[in-house]
Amino acid sequence: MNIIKVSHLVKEYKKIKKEKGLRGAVKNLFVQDAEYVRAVDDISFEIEKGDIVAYIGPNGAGKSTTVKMLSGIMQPTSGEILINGISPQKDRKRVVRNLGVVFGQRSQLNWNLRLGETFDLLKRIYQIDDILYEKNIKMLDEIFQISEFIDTPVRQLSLGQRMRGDLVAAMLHSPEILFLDEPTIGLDVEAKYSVRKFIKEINERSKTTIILTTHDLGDVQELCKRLIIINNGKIIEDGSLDNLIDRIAPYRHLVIDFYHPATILHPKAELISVDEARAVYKFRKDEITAAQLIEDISHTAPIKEIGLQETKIDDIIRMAYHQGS
Amino acid sequence: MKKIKYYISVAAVLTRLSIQSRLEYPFMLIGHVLANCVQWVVGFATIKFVVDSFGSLGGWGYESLAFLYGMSVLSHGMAVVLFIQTWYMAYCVVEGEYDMFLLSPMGVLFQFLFEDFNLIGITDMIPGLMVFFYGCAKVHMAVNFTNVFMILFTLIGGTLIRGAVWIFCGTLSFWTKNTANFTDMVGALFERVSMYPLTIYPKWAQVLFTFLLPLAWITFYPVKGMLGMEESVIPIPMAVISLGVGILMFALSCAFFRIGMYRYESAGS
Repeated sequence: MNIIKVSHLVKEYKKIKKEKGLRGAVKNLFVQDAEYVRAVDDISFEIEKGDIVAYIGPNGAGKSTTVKMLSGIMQPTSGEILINGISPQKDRKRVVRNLGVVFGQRSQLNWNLRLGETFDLLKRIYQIDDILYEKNIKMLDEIFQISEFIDTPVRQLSLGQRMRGDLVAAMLHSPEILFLDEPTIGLDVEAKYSVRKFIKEINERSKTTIILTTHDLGDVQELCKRLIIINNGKIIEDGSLDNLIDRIAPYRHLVIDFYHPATILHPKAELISVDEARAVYKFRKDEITAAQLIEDISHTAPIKEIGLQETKIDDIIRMAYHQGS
Repeated sequence: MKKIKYYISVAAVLTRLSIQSRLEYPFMLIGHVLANCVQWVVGFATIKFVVDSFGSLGGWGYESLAFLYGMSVLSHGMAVVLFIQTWYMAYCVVEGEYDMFLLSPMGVLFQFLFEDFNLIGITDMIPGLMVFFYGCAKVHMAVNFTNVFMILFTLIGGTLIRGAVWIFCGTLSFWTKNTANFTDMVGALFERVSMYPLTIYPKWAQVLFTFLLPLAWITFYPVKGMLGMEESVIPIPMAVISLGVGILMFALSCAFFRIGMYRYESAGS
């Protein structure tokens, strides 16, 4: 079942060009040179219940604008969004009841008060009954271990703890959909790792559908089966990470150290460098497997050491961005 | 009915939380008590000086002025307690603060107004109450049912008018992004119109503040009614009309806020 359906979504901004200097400033009071920019340009996609989808793109690509429209904060210029069959533009309150949203750069927790107070307020706002509330708090505590700092004022929490608090706050009313906007931004390695683990666990336990925007491709690699890449307001890729790698960077490199210098050719791999006893082969993984290649070569010369190099994910995404623009 | 109960229960928690937040900084509270007391006592002394020198102000004697002044400071205090956040609406637009409210399944203005119950504003009420009781004593206000209700109506009406005008000004920021000057100007207007008798102003200003920008209903007309200074044209007490004006203004300002919110949603921040 498709829990999110987006069709032909467009968001146009009016961009005003300012002229330079005092003369320009005075002139701008009367005549404005406006042009319309499409931040989101005819986007369509569907998301299935229980999926974790990464929504990525360079700065200014239209990611946040899309998330804002999906969550009912912003009105689209045209196109339609259906969340569980309801349009957030027509019935915002009903849609957001079933939505959890976390912005990495902004917190919904009450800065001055102990973390628990915010949960108390959310319990009222979402009219969560006592039994469900206790159950959810217990489950979320198992995942996020919040009880150790639930009585600490939010201003004294570390960034990682705050993010955990924000995730719990977003999940308290057991929403079916979770929007995470850069949830790991600014976190150290350890905190990043645990936040990823938590997100995975929420998804597995509650079958929560998660849309994640991020610049951290580690998040994508760890969490998402599917990835949508947007650039200049248009979707340029939509599929699994593996597929993207196969298509954009089908080559892998195999580095072999022999016992003695050797130049061995193989019909399905290109020998791109030989340095003393080290040889580097480039091959397409749809033509030959690494194991086969190693086996073939080892028939000719004994192998001491091997290394397999994949194209780095950052490079692949960068290639995808360039391809699209 | 269920919906009203729901909103009241959330409002209660929001109010409790904002009081708790304010109590995290107790020294701010003490500072404000001192500052406000000094401010209002000086203002009151000024009036006393003027009346002592000239005998009366716009046909009003010292006793009635004291009562008018007390009512004005009281409704100012109430408005500051309930509506101070409307002074920062421009900031909220620029910073995209409304995004968070839109993500919650409740009305945006409701959340905005209750999110910040200004406990410190209560310090405004302390000198207000002092001046008010002093004024009551001076005009020999009888303690009876009618008077208590008239005073309550006036206070509620006056508070709503003030709040409504602030919401109007703040809502302009959806278009202009900055309304600080405007808010300051309105603050000055409130003081000038509600603390002194309207009769000291030229005719055109009296018409303006009665019908177009009905600030004279905050204190001037209802106080006049209570002191029996007005030959009634219509058989409804001035305080009741004042309450009606307050409710109407507030409803209009909410409607205007909705229009502003629509613009916010289409433009983003």
